[in-house]
Order: sequence, then structure tokens, then C-alpha cells
Amino acid sequence: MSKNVYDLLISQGIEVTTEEAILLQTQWEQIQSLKKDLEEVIQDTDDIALTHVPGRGSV
Amino acid sequence: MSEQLAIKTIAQLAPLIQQREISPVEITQSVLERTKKYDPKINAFIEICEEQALTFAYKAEKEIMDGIYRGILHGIPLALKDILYFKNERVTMGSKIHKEYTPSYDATVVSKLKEAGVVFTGKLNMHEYAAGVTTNNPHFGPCRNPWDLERIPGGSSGGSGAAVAADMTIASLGTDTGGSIRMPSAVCGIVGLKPTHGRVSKYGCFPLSWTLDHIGPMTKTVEDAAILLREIAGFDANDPTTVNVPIVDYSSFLTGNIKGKVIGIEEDYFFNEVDLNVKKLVNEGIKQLESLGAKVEIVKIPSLKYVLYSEFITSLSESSKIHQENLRIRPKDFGTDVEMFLKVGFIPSAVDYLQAQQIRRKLMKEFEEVFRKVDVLITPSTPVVAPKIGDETVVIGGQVRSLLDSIMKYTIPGNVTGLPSISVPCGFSSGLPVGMQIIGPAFKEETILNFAYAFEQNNNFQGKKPNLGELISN
Repeated sequence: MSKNVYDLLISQGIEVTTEEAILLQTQWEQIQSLKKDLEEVIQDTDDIALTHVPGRGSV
Repeated sequence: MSEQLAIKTIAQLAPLIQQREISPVEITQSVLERTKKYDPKINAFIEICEEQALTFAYKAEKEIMDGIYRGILHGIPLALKDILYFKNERVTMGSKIHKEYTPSYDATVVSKLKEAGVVFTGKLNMHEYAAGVTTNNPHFGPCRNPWDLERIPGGSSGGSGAAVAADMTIASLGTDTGGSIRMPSAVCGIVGLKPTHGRVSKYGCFPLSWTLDHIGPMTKTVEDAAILLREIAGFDANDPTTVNVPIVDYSSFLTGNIKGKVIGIEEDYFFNEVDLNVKKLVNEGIKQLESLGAKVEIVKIPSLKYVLYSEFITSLSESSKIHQENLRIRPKDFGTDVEMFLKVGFIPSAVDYLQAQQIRRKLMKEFEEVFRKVDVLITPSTPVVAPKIGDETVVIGGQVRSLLDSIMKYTIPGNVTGLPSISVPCGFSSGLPVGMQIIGPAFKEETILNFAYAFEQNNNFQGKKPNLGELISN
């Protein structure tokens, strides 16, 4: 999986070493663990907090 | 020149200036004297603008002597976080990459303060690009907490927290994306107010995360926070996130009367994973407010379970976009922690980002529902007191936890929802300041200010000062 993080960043032009990729992978997994069971709470069709107001910009 | 003027507040100094009993030059000299005396050890300043400050001060003095009094901030010396643009002046964002950046315009808050006659004394240290909580800055050196020089002043507005606590500025402005006004205010023993998102223009403030960033006052007292907010608030066509809602005279709401008001307590998130001494002090604070006539009601906000996820995905994604180009061409010019923070931001997908926004909306609805029943929510500002410089973890209840995740835990909901929140000193644990956070409904800053004021008037925590004399002798 850290190879995936490595590839993902490299594909976006971000220089990353394999050691960094492992660290980034760990951090990403920690963030992912924060959304455990989220699908039970958030419905696919729930609205988002960003709206676009024509003539005024985004809020 | 006496240092005694520097320890005063805006509310104390303004009438003396207006009545010509003291001069802006005397106050500015007093503040500069303290800054030169203590800052070599605290390192709250990236730049001290002595010559310019005295020029501003003499100009203010002349105007006032000529009968032109611009208002309550006229002649008051302030130093601001070095992330706010001053036209044709260097602004660094605490970074190497922008070390010589010179914007061609003033931030809206800066132009408002200039118009009000503020004397600017310098630019304050911060976590690089506001992307962190320690102000352990690799390019300008670590800023230190005046209460214990081995400890962090918090961040990212650590220089503002330390400078206000050490009376090296009468007050300051900070920015807050996950708690960067309230957290340093709490651990430095001062008042920090994050207004509602949209209340204060962010135009001319280098962004960390567009939808989470806020600018607000960091002050010695609640009254000064009310004064400063009144001066910087307002709709700004240059900032599409500002909202055109009325601004009130916040000071006039500081009655201290909270009789019959309802305090909401959410225990599952806000009183979980907190140091026992901190929890005890905040609970004592709530009891004091009850003794003043407020009632307490227990509330539930289920989606708080996902607030950290929502914040991390949003702030990482937005900040990585902001720094995308520099991260590609000169990644090693960022500090190591910021470089890694920004690189993580390239991992979330668009779907992850939008899911984070769904959580935000759900949270906003749940908070709105709660504020139909209660006037404010009260929480600890931080789960622990100021950690030591270099610490990357904290121990809470015997458990080792990441500093970054833990220390912002209670302030992050205010950013994700945009709701106004204030940190007010509520005591000391092992000689280090502890803050109590008061959160209110959108655009009801006057409500949280009055709760904070009621608490402050019944205590004297803000009157206690770090022992800076020891700094000089050691």
C-alpha cells in the first residue's frame, strides 16, 4: 500500500522517498481510522457544507 | 521609561490617551522596552519595527494633541502575527520560501487598524505557514512560553500568545484553522476569540485552509477582545466568505449578567481524553457560572465522532493545494513537519473531501439543534497544559497520544462548523495556565463574550503574570 502512496504522489509531481511513503501511509491510515462506521451516519445524498452562490462566489 | 504602561489593557489606556494624560509615544516606548528586554529569551517576534512604531506613535500623538481622536485604538501599540499583509512590508508567514515576500496591499484587518490609528510595533512568530501547533519554527527559532521557557506557547499563533502574555504587545491578532487562536491563548493564559466564519475578512491573510481559516483577537481581557472584534469585523467584498450581518458594539453586551441562561455540556467528545486537573478546573468554572444564575443542561452531538476526520481531510486537501507548486519545486525549503503535513494532503480523493463536507453540514445542523435549547456550550480549550518544546506526544490518563491530534481536539469543532468560540483563563495546573472554551450560535459573539466576561469578573486569572524577572536573571 505504501507503494500506492509513493506512486500516487509521484504521479502528481511530488518528490517522495520510499521511507517517507511508509510514514505517509501510516499517517493516512490513522486518518482513515477516524471515519470508522461513517457510512452508517452519512447518506450518499446528504448535502455538503460548500455551496455556490451565483454572483457572490463560494461560501 | 516605565514598563508599567505595557502591562495595561486597551480599555485602560484608551481613555488616558484620549484625555491626553499619557502619550502614544510613552506607551510605545514602554512596550518596545519590554520587548527588547524579554524577547531575546522568548522569541515571540520575527521582526521588531522600532523606528516605524515610533513614527506612527509621534503621528498619533500629534493628531490627538491637534484634537483629532480617531477612537479607542488610536495610539495603541499592537504587534500582529506575521501572516497578515502590510503593503510594501516584508511578511514571512514564518517560512523560508516567503522570507522576503512583500505584498502590494494591506490585509483588510490591517487597513482597518491603520485607519483606527494603531501603532504597529512588529511581526510575530508563528508555526510555519500556520500549519502546526507548536511555533517551534525551523527558520526563525522556537517561540517559548513565558510561563515556562522549556514549553511551547502553542500555535500556530504562538508568537501572539507569548507576546500578549509577556506584555510585549497590548493585544494582538491571530489566525485559527483548527484552534490556532484559542489553543495558544489557553496555554499562555490570555483571552482568544475565534469569531464566526464570515464575521472578519481574511483578505490579505495568507491562507492555510480557505474554509476553516479565521482571524481574531488575542488579548489580556475579555473587554479588549470585544473592543478589537468591533474594529476588525465586517463584510468585505474582497473576501467572498464574509457575511453581511450587523456588527454590534460588543463591549456594551458585557454586563456579566447570565442569570437564567443555559450552558450546554457535551460529555462524550468534549470531556473525554482530558487531563484530570484540566477537567477539574473547567468543571469548577462551570459551577461558578451556575452560581451566577446560569443553568446546565447535558446535550448530545453524535457527529462529533467524525469531526477530526472532517477537519483533517479538509485542511490537508486545501493547504496542499495552496502549497502545491512549492511542494513540487522546492520541498526541502519547508520545515520537515510541514513538508510531511502537506504531502499527506495529496492522498485524499475528491470523494474524501466531499464526504468531509457532508460531515460538516451534518455537524452544523446538530449544533444548530443544540443551540435551540442552550445559549452556549462550555468545554476545556485544550486537554492538557503546554507541552515541552520538542514533544510530539502527550500523556492523558496514562495513554500516550499524538500532540497534534490531541491538543486541537476541543477547538476543531469551532472551525469545522464556523461557530464563534472563545478561550478564557480558568486557572493553573502545576503553575501552567488552563483555558475554558465557550462556544456560541453563529454570529452571536456578544453571547460568548458576556459569558467569558461574567467568569473573568469573578476571578483574577488574567491578572496573574508569568515571572519574567527570573528570565532576566537566569
